[in-house]
Amino acid sequence: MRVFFVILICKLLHFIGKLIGKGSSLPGKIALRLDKNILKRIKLPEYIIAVTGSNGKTSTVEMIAHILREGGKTVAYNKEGSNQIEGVTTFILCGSTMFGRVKSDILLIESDERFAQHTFKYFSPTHYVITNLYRDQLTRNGHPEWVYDCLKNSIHEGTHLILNADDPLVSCFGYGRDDVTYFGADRLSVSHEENNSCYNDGAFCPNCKNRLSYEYYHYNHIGKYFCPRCGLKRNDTRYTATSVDLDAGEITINNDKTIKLALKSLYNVYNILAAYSVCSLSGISEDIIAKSISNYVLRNGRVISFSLGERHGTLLTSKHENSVSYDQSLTLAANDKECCDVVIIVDAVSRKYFTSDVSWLWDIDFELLANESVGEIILSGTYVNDLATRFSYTGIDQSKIKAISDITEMSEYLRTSSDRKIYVITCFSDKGKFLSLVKEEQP
Amino acid sequence: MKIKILHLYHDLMNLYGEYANISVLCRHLEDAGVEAELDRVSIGDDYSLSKYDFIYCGAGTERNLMVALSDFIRYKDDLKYYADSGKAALFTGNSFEMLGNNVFDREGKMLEGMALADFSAYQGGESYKAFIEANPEERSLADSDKRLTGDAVFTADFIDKPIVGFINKCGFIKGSFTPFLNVKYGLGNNNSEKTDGVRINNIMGTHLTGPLLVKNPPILSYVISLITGGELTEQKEYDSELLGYEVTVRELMKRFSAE
Repeated sequence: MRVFFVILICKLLHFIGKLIGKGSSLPGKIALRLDKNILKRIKLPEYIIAVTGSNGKTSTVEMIAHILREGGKTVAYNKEGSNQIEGVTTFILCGSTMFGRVKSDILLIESDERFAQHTFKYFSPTHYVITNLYRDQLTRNGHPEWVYDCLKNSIHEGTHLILNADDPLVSCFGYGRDDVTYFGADRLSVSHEENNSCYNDGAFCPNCKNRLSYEYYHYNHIGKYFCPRCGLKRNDTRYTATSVDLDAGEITINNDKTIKLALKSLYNVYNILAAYSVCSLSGISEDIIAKSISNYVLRNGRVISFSLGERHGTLLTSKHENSVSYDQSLTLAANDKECCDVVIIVDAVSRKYFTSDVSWLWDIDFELLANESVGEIILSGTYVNDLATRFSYTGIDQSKIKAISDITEMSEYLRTSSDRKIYVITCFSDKGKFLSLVKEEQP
Repeated sequence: MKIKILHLYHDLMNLYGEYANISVLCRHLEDAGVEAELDRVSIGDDYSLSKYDFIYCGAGTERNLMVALSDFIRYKDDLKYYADSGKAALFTGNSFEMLGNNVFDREGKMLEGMALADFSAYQGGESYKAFIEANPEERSLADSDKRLTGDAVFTADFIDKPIVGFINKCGFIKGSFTPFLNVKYGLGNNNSEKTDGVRINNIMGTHLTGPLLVKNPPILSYVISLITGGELTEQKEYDSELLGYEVTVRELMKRFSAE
């Protein structure tokens, strides 16, 4: 079928879909059924940037798009979040002329890590950012090594890789390749010599399975490592966070450019580094990058301020089945100088599929909340008992912990239980249930 | 009473939260006045299996399983002796694949197993292709080579309550052996048998991953009775552990019976 008709149908379906509030993957699915090689026939722009990895994809892509636009480029990206081949097809075709030419200077794609191999069968990114590989949604993904193998199939010749040097498994993608740029962080004041998290996915070399040595860890298995047997090591970085001051909310890149942090977490620093690297490689000046990303507040609704009666709080959207994401949110709450109560809700494990598996709770370092600034810890949702069991195995004073299964009842309790600041840590699947009971505020 | 526990490959075979099996076991033993002494060992460590009253090994990645097996194989005779002595052990997730005759990895390479039971494990990939090519009539054992994940409800002849958990594996096992559990809902040892795991005396192997002793108070109490020779009649119970189990059973039964 002619490209013209496939694009027309895709655009029409997308238009209708938007009117009736349907997702964005169906038009692409139908387009692929009409012509499975449709993506091969589209004239793509000079820069095709793809971003994948376990965590931080959406935030990184949003920052890249923002920087590129500030740098005067036009950008098309899948902000509707459909990151498998159907959704990617929808957004590419909808961003094309009727004759099959992508209208923007730069095509920016957030790609699901297991499905990237299908998407990049039809075209390859010119710049491919891989942020990290963590234990993430293992009920679907298997484990990080399984995802690594899937992702490896999506990397082809002619693609420039932009890799997180501090993640040993991710750095393996660069093994034996020349066209690789690494980003990472130097030793920081928050770095430590022992791995303090509940598990260490950096215990063994991903390449030869000898025991891996670490000079320091930034968090979890992210840090400076080397393998005494095969020589795998943390590569030198071209884009480096040379200093990070989370209290002041400021980082320096390559001892030169200063960036203010709207979100004071190390996790966010890595997203910024990834965005900074790929934008610089795409020809945007580092002055413009640093200026446009400084104090940038993400619009993707991951951090939400709210009020509940007289109380104020922040909801930190974290990913269920992803302990690194939880650890980062817990760190953020525990490091707040102000006293706070922390609410944790696990009601539905996922919004996309059913599972009752709560194994991942045991990988989360809830011990981080054993901090004087944390007042009460309130657990809620269907899996409140599993949370309570998990907390009973921490050293946290059990009198600080309260379990209220029903989310409405919990929020009523919260309304008057104290006057401390509130942190709510939960997932996309559950945050709406809480937000419908409070008043959202501008941060 | 004092019980010595050995946690094998704690830092290599830990897909997610497996360590909690040991935490919950030690807590419940100590509640009952039993002193629990734990040793954690990994690659290259030397120890004497016969010193222990309980052995545990958790699930790992396919590659890590091969690394663990290459190391564990030097204990082949000791493990046979341990099994014959009637002492208890629990191998969860893919770790129990070590107990068979051999394991074929995703590149098609074969490693010799501990040979406590007559079966072979195929991790998929090249070994899957080779198996299907050599045994086209057995194609139904695994109808494709993909990640096999899903919630599960199992039953056991020795426990009157359902067993819940999660399967996260690839490939299948094939052979002639006594299984550990029966599959009510979810994935089994392979596509054509409704059984899970393997049992050799009091050595138990199951594909269930993660902290299954936390999720299943009935199995925990069964394991404790095996370890202590049935000497503990009273075991302390925790509301959150029991309620967590009931909620999971309820959610899974609701889900599976609707399918």
